Amino acid sequence: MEKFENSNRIVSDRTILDDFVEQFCSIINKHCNYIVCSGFVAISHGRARGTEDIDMIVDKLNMEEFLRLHRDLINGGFVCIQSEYPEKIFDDYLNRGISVRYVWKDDGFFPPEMEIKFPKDELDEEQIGGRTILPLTKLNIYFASIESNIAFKEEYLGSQKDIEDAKHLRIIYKDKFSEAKVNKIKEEIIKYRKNG
Amino acid sequence: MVERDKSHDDELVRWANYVKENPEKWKAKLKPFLDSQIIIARRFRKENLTY
Repeated sequence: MEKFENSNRIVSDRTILDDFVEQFCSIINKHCNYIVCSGFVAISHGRARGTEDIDMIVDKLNMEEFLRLHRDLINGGFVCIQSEYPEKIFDDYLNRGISVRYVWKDDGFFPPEMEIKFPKDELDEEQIGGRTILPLTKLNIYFASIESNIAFKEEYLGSQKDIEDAKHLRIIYKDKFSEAKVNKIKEEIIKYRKNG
Repeated sequence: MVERDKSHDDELVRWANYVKENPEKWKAKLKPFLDSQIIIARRFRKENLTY
């Protein structure tokens, strides 16, 4: 998007990722429930680290529902990296539990990317059910809850980057989130993902 | 997992507290860093990768 490189005038504090995620979510929201989760949650709360992709879980759709969603995404200026054929995207990827990536339409596949997938299990469905707008981000999109993000990063993902993301969120939301909920989600992660 | 040194953790905490205490200021300071990664990645890939 050369418009970002050629502009010398800063008109707002909104980032490229902000514009990308809100454009994408406004289309998804017309078709199904979704959550944005993982790294972008921390970044949208001020965590100073890079990312080129944003993770999203959407309601499990059938083929017809997905075809309508995909068509709207294409009309909205996005393309799927994996395939231009929506039936293939559905059958070979989403329906097999594999994520796919959409980017702004350009003369190639360039970041940022939206990585979307269907719920893997009840835990993902519970995350979608508990979706929330997080006013501190000033973004009009739905996120997984803060408790869920902290629990997944600390109990499931666990890389240095994830542990630091969780620590950042714990500071930002100090005394404003439920440690009991975090622990309950961690127990479910152990049940569904580690022992399941 | 290799632990990073204490100064790294100190900076993480210092910045998170700044964000918490300055909700109207932090974004302007972070925006150039966040945007530049996308801009540079796009430029590099356009110049060096073919799809």
